[in-house]
Amino acid sequence: MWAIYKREMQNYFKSPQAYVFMAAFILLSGFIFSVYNLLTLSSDMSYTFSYMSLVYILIIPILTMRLMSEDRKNKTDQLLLTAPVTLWDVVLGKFLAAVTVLMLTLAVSLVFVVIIGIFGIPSYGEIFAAYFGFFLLGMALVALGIFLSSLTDSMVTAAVSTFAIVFLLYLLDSVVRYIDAEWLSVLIGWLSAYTRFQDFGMGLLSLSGIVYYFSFAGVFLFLTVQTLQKRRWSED
Amino acid sequence: MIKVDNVTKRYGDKTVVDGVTFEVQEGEIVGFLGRNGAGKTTTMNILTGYISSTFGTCSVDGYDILKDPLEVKKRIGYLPEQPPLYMDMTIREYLGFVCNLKSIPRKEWKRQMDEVCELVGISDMQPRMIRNLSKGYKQRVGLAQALLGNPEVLILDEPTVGLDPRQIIEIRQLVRQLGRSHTIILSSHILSEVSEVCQRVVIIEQGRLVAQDSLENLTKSTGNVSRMVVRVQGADNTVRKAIMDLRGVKYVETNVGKEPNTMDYMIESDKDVDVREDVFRAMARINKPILQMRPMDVTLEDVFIQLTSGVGEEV
Repeated sequence: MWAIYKREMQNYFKSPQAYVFMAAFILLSGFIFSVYNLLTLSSDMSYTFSYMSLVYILIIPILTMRLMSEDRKNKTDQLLLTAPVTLWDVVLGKFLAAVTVLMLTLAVSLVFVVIIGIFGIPSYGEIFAAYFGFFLLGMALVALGIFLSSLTDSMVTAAVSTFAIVFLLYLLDSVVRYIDAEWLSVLIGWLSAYTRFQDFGMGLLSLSGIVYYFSFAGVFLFLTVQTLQKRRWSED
Repeated sequence: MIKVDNVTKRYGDKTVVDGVTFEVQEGEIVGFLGRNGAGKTTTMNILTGYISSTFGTCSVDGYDILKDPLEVKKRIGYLPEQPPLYMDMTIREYLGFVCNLKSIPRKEWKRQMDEVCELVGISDMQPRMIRNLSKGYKQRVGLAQALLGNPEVLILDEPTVGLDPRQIIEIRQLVRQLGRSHTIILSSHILSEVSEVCQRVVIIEQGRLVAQDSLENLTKSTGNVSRMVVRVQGADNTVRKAIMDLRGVKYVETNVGKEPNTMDYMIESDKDVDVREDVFRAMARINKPILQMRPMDVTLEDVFIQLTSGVGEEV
């Protein structure tokens, strides 16, 4: 697993990929931060986070699009799948590498908190909860992205489908309000990755939320492994 | 060492590999022969655990590929048809990654990498980016990758495809050298290649095994006749008759010789009778000089065509 993790990390930082990802995130979230915190002279970051979660739609695909699809396209999956490692090693190695890049990026964005700290009195607990939730949301979406990347050998297809589905998940959040059948809106609200995030944004560290995001990631990693497994059994 | 038992692979209703069964003993170099699309690569992919068979099993050293995939994979070095290289790495980085992937203890990395690079002749190329290498060198890096961890079994899928003649000879020598300490399965559609390095061949056609035997037995089994060609000067009907009368001769075919005023006779005789001396004396008796006499070897190509044509017609 660590062999694959290390190679993916090298790949992220030797290609422009990780830098593009970080730059795009910092640029967009910096813009949001300026608008909702600096210009409004507010130390409340909950709005900032709920808008920043929108940024994920755009940048998660950058992080995950080539993770599985590239190996398949270049047939380097032959090396990975015939080496003495399990499919879980392969998938987890790649997942953890993407999550590490995500964490590093979020670490850079902590500069926002520092800025607030200099000029005002931030509620650190609240911000920490929001950051944690924000990270969990990102992690879950990375798992989703890896799964979508494993379905195709084209990076573009992987990126576009990840973009579309993350966007859809985001929209789901607002669609819920217009659904008449209560059970359906409750169900969708319960399943929605973005709705879950609102708790964290308000400073709540909910256990159910944490369990939810880890399960979300787990399910998609499991599906990724199954996709690889299935391909070995039938391929054309 | 390697057992392939009734391995079958279907894609939809197309059967690509159909009940292939063979065994490879420890230390053998086995040639895996077949035309393009015969199912060689699929069989090798199943054997290395890259894909799974529809049914049937393979085992290496007693470990089943489905039940103990990791144990099997530890014992196999695989060079697929297209070497699985990361173009954005240098050779050294790539081999380091493979060492790590194969869980080779870190303190052995340097020694092993130096060793395999020396063996495949890429020692001074190590800092180069893989994407900038020629096809021949990429093939060698692929081979180096397979050799890392010193696996007992090497599976090489068409290792000489796309190489220039000098590189082909080098790779062949290397395979022969590796054969002293490894069990090797080498696939190819080029017969001469297999006949040079392999002790035994397994031939498949349209997914089915058509023969597996030593090279001598295969060339022997094409019939109990031996053939030779004799070129005779100023030949006429008496020559043919004189040859036909010899003991052991079964069939004579007459062709106009390439040289002026000569005839070529293709003589088929019983395998256990050497008719050369009799032919010489017969020609001397009727005063016809023999200009040339050469045996016609039964080539592996003949064997191959004979074995595979039957299958082709059936389908």
